[in-house]
Amino acid sequence: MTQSISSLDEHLIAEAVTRSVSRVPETGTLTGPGANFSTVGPGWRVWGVAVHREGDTLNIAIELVVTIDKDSSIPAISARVRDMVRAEIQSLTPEPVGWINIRIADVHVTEQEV
Amino acid sequence: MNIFNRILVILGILLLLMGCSTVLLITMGMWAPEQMMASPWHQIFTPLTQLDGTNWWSVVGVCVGLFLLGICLFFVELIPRSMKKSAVTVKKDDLGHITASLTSVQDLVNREAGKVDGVLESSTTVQESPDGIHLHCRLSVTPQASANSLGPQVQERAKEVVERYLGRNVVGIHIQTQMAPLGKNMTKVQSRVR
Repeated sequence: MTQSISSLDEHLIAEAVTRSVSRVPETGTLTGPGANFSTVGPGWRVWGVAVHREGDTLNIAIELVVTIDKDSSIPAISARVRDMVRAEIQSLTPEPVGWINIRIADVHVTEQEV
Repeated sequence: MNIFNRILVILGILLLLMGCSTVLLITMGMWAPEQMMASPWHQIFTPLTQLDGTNWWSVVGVCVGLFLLGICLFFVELIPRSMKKSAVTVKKDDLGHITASLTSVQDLVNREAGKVDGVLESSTTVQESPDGIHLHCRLSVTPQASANSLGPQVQERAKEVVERYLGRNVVGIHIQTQMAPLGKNMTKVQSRVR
């Protein structure tokens, strides 16, 4: 059942973003004080995700840690994350999603040689 | 500090400078309080015209000190903050920006450099220009290593890993080798393999 998000609830939006990022293999949001982005409210903080509202549009910035192998690349992983996040948000709220900025904070390379 | 805070700080410094100047001018007898303010407000500053000896020097000394401090702070605030980029742009389109932190790119390059025989330590700086990415690699190598053969290997590996994973052109790779350790700012070669 789809949960309806009020237009002001950035907490749920940020958590939805984190959830959708975790569904993309080999990616995760950057957590902890090292993160440049976070969404903060009274008594809570979601690291690695920033939710901006511009008029009726939701803009999102995500900071990721990715693990890549020789068959993947940062643009490809980022595109998958964007698609996943956009789909997740649009399934929860009618608000249009504007830009989704992605910052790769750390890259791990798997054992496979380049 | 955002622009609003900086404007507030600059306004505060200007107020400090104006206050110090006013007190100095009145104390030194160059400006009469009656000229500055209408009665009865000028009486606030009248005691400054009646200072003598140690008190006069104390007031003048403190005001000169605060004035000089204000001037220094004013110029420091006017100097533009360093706009050094902390990330390279991987892709930019209508959907948003994709950027990679400089440290993540440096780690990728250092990891590749460390795979070349003879490289002990590596420190890389990354610069972005409109035509692509420039890499500057400082390498600490073994005494037996030949810079002529090692350099091209590092260049090739660094170019390949950056272009493969970031999808950006590498337009310049500068290699600097030395046998001494790289020092405090170096990044030790460390395979970041899972």
